[in-house]
Amino acid sequence: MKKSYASWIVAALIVAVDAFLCVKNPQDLDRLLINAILALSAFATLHARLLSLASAGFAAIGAYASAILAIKLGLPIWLSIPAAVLACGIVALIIGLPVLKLNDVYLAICTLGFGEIVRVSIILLPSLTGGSTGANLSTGFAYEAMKQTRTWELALALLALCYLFWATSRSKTGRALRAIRENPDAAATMGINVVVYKNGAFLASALIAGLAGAFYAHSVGSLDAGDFKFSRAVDILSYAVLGGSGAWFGPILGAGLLTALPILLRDGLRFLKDFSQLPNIVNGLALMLAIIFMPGGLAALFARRSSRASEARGEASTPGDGIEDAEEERVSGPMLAVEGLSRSFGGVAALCDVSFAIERGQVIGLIGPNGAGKTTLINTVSGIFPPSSGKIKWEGREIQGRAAHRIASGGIARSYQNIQLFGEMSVLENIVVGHHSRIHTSLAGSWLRLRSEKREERAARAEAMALIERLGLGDLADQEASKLSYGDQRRVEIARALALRPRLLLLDEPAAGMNEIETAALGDFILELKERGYTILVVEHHMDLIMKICDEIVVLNFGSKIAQGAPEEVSRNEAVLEAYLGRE
Amino acid sequence: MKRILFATAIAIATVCSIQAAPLPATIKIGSAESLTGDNASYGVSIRKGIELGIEEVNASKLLGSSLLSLAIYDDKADKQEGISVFNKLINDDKVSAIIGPTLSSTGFAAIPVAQKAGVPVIGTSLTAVGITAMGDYVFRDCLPQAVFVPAALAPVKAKFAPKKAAMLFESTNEYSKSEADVFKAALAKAGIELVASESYSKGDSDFRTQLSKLAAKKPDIYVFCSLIGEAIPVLQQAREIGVTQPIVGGNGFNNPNVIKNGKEAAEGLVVGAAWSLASAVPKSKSFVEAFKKKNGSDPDQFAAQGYSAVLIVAQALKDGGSADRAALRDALAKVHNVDTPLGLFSFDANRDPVCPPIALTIKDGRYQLFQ
Repeated sequence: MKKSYASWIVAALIVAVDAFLCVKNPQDLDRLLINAILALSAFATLHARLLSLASAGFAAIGAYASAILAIKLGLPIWLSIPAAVLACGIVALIIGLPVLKLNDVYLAICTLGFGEIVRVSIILLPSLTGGSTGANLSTGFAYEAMKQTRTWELALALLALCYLFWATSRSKTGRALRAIRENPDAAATMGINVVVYKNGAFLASALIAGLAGAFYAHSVGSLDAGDFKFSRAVDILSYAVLGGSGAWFGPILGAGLLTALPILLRDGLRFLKDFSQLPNIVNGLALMLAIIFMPGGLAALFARRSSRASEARGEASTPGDGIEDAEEERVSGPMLAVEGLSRSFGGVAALCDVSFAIERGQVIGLIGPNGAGKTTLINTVSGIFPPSSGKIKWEGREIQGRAAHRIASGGIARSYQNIQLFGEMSVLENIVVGHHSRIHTSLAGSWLRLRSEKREERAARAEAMALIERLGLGDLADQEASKLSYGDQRRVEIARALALRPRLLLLDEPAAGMNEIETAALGDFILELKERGYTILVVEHHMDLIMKICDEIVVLNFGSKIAQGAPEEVSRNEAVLEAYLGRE
Repeated sequence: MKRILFATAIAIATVCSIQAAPLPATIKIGSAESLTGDNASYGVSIRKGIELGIEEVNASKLLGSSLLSLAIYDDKADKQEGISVFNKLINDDKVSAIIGPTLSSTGFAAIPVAQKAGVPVIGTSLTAVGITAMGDYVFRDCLPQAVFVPAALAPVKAKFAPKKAAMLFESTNEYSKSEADVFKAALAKAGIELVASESYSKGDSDFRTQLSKLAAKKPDIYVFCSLIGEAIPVLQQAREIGVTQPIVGGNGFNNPNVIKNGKEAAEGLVVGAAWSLASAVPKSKSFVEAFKKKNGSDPDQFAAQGYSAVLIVAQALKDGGSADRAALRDALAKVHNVDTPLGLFSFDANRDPVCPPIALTIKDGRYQLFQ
């Protein structure tokens, strides 16, 4: 409660200071609005875990494209601005596919290069852009023809964008982006197509930056390539970083603060005329301190209001425990067949020619000493990486090398040995992510706030809540997942996997970190799932558990299968005893 | 008769009333300069020139008991900041006139604000084409390159009476290309025939082929338009292939590094300039001395132009007798032969500067007046 109090004071203060400055100097309002739009552009990428510095480059394209269309072709700005935004979108689609394969700092450097290419191209096309002289009166871009936007138009655009970001953040898309931001690998195994969402975020960022750039051109009235240099790219990024990449309104506050602060310092410190660098130093210092003491940015001051467990409970219209009985088998033959599967990392063979099959309704144990290749096998089957050779047949079809999200939506869910929850999301939200591929309302539908979305979301939340209660986590539904105990986090992972309604469940050491009572309860739960028709592959070191629940056990050692059979059979197997106990 | 007397009385009264309203005790002059960032060296120089000018005007009692005061802000070489600062100067500080901004790019964004508000602006470093075309409140005291660069030709013609000229320029740079065009026009005007013209691209390091082609036409003078990066090798290689004829350089050659790195090859080079430490103008000598005393260093062209802008505004305030913005604009448009370091200074009909450019030559490792 205290937290949200402070947050509203900070927000009110920023708004008040900006309002004061803009009343004093109305043209600063244009600047503030344009910076806020640019901040949203940076947010769009940062929120999807993309450290992109391309916003300044796209703003440059938007600005020049709209200026050239308006001046050289005489288009009215209500045509030239959308056309410029469209141009940015096309460029983003072209460069997005190769560039977005890069991560973190590599992406940052690459997008920085993009910005430089745009800037230099502008200088090298003087007949079109005015070259290094700039787009101004001297190169045929008359001020009156250029300066056409009014402040209320910029404000309206920002408001519209705010609405779209707000509606998106409440939709399936928003949830998927939050999941990607927290953990892209886990998001993929929840059926989320990470590549598409990342490209979508990059495209959105480019469109918004292009819009801001076009507004800049028609608000300032002249342009030159220096307006979009490296330091501008860094400014834009710092709005989003200071504001926080967790919630869309954060960067707007960040832009408000970082636009107002230099103006306040300029006017407040003007008596220090021999230290003209001082405002810049104070500004930089403030930014440093803010980032050190508020790593989540301004947005982190606000408690995120996700859908509450109590509401989800109330919404439960369908009775049940959230666990659907597994669907009927579609084809005859084994459900999953692994044939000659090998995977090596560099020269190390982590898996070597492993074959076995899982029949529908079976619980198979996968055991072996540390480093035997158990997790590698699960990663290969769930599509985290492809096998080096061999086949994986899922219900008769080969799926080796398929993307993780396709395997997930095909009916194979998994949990992780090292817990991979979406740590900053609530338990309930974690589970609802599992419903991703079953919520069909499009993003446009979310923007229009269609009834169908409300219905689908409500059903997903109710079902997720039932599942949480079934696993005995009901009281924790509103907690942030990362705040849970280890054993509870394991259970949330299993629940999240079940939310996909899989036909095959891959559990990687589900009992790790659980005490004996919890482990026994887990065993009962797995048997209950089996009764409901689930097929399960479980990796475990708790032999009691394995013996109790498994129909069959596969034993790996140094990447090769050394035994397979019924539990009693395997426990007497010489090779197994040797591998485990090192007998002669 | 009565009527005429009456009218005369009113006229006299009006004139008296104008004279009776003296200049206010403090007249605010605003300035927006790039005091931080990449272009800070220009902005800081201009500020020092402006500050010296204001001190001197106030000390000289040129405006009677009225004093000039300066409100100066950093425009950060940013268009939006420039607009913001101009608004502040006009609305909060209520200045009578604005000197600046430092960069033409900032000027194209910010000056329309002043034009619209009816506040006179004097650019001291805004050499881009189209600056004064923004409106009747926009003035500048900096000669454009198109005027001062070819100014070196006239004295060279007077001294050496050349008939044929040859030219080398960088074709990949807008600035060098336009400079070459300016020289071509100036050569034609001076009646010197351009017998050969060669070009090179940015980053080239060997210019001997082009220089030899030029030399083959046996010109009486050479004209080189290069940026500082290529200026020195061009000069050295020209001497290497045996060029002894006078060389006239573009603005890239008006740079201390040409002397420092070009050494003997630079001797005898002629360049045109808007102002130089070597200027023989009396007001310039006293300015250099006062500037050195106040700041401990030599002024540059930017300081001289900033200083001159203050003298010009002060003269207009005195002539017009009013600190009112519109009256000051009218007075500025009429100033005639103000004594400044740039020489006797006036504005032409387009509010562009009319003052004598100078020709410099490198002699004994120093830029000196070309005589």
